[in-house]
Amino acid sequence: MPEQFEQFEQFADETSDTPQFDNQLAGLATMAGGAAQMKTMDAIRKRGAQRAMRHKTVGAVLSVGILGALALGAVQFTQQGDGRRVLPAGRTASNVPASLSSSPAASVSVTAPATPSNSAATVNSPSATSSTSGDPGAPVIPGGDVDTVVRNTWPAVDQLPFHTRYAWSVKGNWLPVQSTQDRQWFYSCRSSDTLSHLGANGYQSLVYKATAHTAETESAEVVQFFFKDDAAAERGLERIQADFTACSGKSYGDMETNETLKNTVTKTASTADGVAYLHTLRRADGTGGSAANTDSDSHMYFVRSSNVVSMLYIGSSATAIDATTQDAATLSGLAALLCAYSGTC
Amino acid sequence: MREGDDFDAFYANTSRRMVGQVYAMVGSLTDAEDAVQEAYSRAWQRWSKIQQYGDPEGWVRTVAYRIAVSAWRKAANRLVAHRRHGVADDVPGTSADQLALAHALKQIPADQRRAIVLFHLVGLSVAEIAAETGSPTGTVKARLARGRKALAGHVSEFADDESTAGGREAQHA
Repeated sequence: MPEQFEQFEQFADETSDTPQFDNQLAGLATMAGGAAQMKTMDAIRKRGAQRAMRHKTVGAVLSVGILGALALGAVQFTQQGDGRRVLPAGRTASNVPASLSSSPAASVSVTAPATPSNSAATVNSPSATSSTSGDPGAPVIPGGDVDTVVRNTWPAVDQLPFHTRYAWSVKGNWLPVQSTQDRQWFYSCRSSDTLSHLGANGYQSLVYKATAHTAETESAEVVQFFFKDDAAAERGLERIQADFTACSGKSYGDMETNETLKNTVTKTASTADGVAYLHTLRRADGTGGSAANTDSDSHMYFVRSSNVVSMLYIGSSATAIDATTQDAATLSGLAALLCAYSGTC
Repeated sequence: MREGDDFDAFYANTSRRMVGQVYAMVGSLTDAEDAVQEAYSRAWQRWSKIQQYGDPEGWVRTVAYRIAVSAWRKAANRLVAHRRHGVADDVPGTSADQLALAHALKQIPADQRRAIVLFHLVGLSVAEIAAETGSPTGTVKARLARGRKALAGHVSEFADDESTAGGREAQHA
């Protein structure tokens, strides 16, 4: 029996067939929960308050440090008689904060979120963001941020490809997960440290569950990556494209048969700020492969608008998701939804 | 109902169950207690946001698990446990079978154990485990299969799966 032989079939019906084990495990967990020395609600609140205080203290100390560093940097500028600020030797415009390198004549577009970025917010209308001309020295505030959910930017279930086949639905109340923590995996051609690799500040994610043909695919996911500014998002999209170029030459082993799979990455559509890929892994007999971190068929769409890159991922063990005729329209549709972030709806 | 009342009810209704789940994932009651209480204190700070999530319990479980597997916190808790008891912490009052199961779970890799617990104890589907752990469904299935295989020596039902798989393989050959 091959070392990596996997029994995938036993999970096909999504039900457990081991009642004795389940009961024993439940009994063990119940005993542990019962034996736990739980703190009172007051203690939990106190712990939370102490934690918040620690964060505030650390934040204040960091702020003082950063302000000190900025002040030190500022005195390195020499003030000319005509008021121009001149960089010291060895410094270039690219390594100076944008607010300092702006020309006095430049006009900077500032898009302000409707709500403070450190509080939970759900915004339903693109008009919640506004564009205004600001001071040339003012920092550029991103159009989208991980703390603010803009409902209109998420596709409705019937806007997802293959809806006719999979009858997508959204679990719960349409609220995306918001996170600044990296996770193992977002798309097929990158399996670690994706946020830092892309240079993203964080992401929001919404899972769409299939309600038909669930043996082929269980879910689709839309992820919005948030960057500090438009240029960073553009670089993020370029890195995604580089990942797909690189992984077309990668070798994937099959966990069941141990054979090397035929790895095919195809760019199926592209726009000025968007690209779609189909990534397939095949065994020698043409059937779908079982690689450790990748579905046999992965169909992915990426679009950028303003400082946000939106990704739609659909993975499957079947070829039904391989149709590409709708890919260009899907890219356009995803991009159109992001207009709220760019302020040009 | 006030927001605070809402959180109090959430804590009262879920915290002991949560300790049980995290204990099964990490194998230490002290680690599980501390991680779960820290996770609830973080949830309390952000409750206005978290209560809107479809699954606030899942949020707490994910945060608690991350805290529990944090090497720094594990080391700190070990010191606390030694100060309290002088020995590693087992759950008092467990049967011999449950002790054997707890021991067997500790022998398998953490990722497989987490998948096994989420599937068999929490009752999540493969897709839900994938979402909670940030892993593709194929990986979740592989972890479940490997975990069950590793536990086959301790759990007769999984041994039955093994023999079935062997039979399937023989048929393929």
